Amino acid sequence: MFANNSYGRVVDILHRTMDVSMLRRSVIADNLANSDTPNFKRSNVNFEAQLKRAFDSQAKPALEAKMTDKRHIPFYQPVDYRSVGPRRVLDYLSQSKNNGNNVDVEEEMMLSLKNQLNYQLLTQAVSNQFNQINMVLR
Amino acid sequence: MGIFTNINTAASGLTAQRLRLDVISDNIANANTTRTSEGGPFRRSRVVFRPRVSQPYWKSPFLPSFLDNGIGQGVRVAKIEKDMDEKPRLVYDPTHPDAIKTGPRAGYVEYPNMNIVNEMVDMISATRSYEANIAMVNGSKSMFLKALEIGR
Amino acid sequence: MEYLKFDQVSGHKLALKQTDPRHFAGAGTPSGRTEKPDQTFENMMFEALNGVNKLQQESDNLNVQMITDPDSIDAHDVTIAMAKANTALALTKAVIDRGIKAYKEILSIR
Repeated sequence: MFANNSYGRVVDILHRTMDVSMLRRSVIADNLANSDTPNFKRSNVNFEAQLKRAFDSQAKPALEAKMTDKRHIPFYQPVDYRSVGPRRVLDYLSQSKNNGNNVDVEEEMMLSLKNQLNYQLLTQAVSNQFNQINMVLR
Repeated sequence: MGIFTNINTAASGLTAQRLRLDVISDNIANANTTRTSEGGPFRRSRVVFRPRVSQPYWKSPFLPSFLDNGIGQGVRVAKIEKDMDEKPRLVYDPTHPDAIKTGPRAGYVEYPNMNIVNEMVDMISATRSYEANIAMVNGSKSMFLKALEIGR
Repeated sequence: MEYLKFDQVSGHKLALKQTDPRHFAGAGTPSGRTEKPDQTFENMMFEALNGVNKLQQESDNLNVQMITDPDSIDAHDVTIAMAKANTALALTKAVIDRGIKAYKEILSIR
């Protein structure tokens, strides 16, 4: 019922971001639990930059290709935001300690705090969406 | 990835750090033990940590999905091994009951060659990791409670 | 000269040549979105009720899955599905109530 209008779209975007937030928290918890394991490399999750690129590609492009034949190739193809998924990468580029471990405990704690506050903000945003409709229906 | 996955991961970290702290306290308590049941002075133990899910050795960000072992599930203690690399410390005391009787080192007593300062630094590091894992558990709890308020 | 839009061209989509039945087919078939014509109130109401039913069933399935397999879903999945089902039900109920009230008012004019 909410699939094709702008209300469902906002709730869907928030829902996907909350899923990625939980995934990020799992990865940070794994990094912290393994902060003393020798030769362990920390992992990262990338999602928001790809989502932004998908949204930017939906807008009308500044320079369009003038195509007159069916076999012409367009310059910009719109990317549906639903096809963007989170990607988990191993981080080999950080500075390692002597035992080959490159987990920095303070940085992981800051990342987890930011993630937690972000998740609570997203929860608030989703609640707000539902409460607005409930307010109208009273 | 589920409701309690990151709490399980943090719990595995807590268990491992607690075990490490137990081993360190055992080492400190036996810092002057000259005779053990296996013969010889006390040898310090150390724990060997391994990740529960082994990481693939892949340096590019584009990992093929069949090489990927999934999200890590925390840490496990592979073994607790005795550190046999160091020679014991010799102190000359011929009246000690554990003194060596014969040979070129007659009259010397073998003490464990353990540096208490190293053990204390290890203990501080284990405590800090323990507190970091506790903070993760608390954060997960408050996130879960906030998620329950969505429909209210 | 008439210019084409990006969803009318297919130059960036290449078809793979399959010479063996085990080869993979390319996924480059262009798909357009079809617009539905204007519907009657009755059709839209039935579609809305179907939508509400589907949301309720999804919320029930997630509740069962939360009990039997808690490692596969998240907390916010369950609560968002429940909130969506509640909101859809409340919306549909309000629309139907207002519709029936308006109908009764029109009937009582005579």
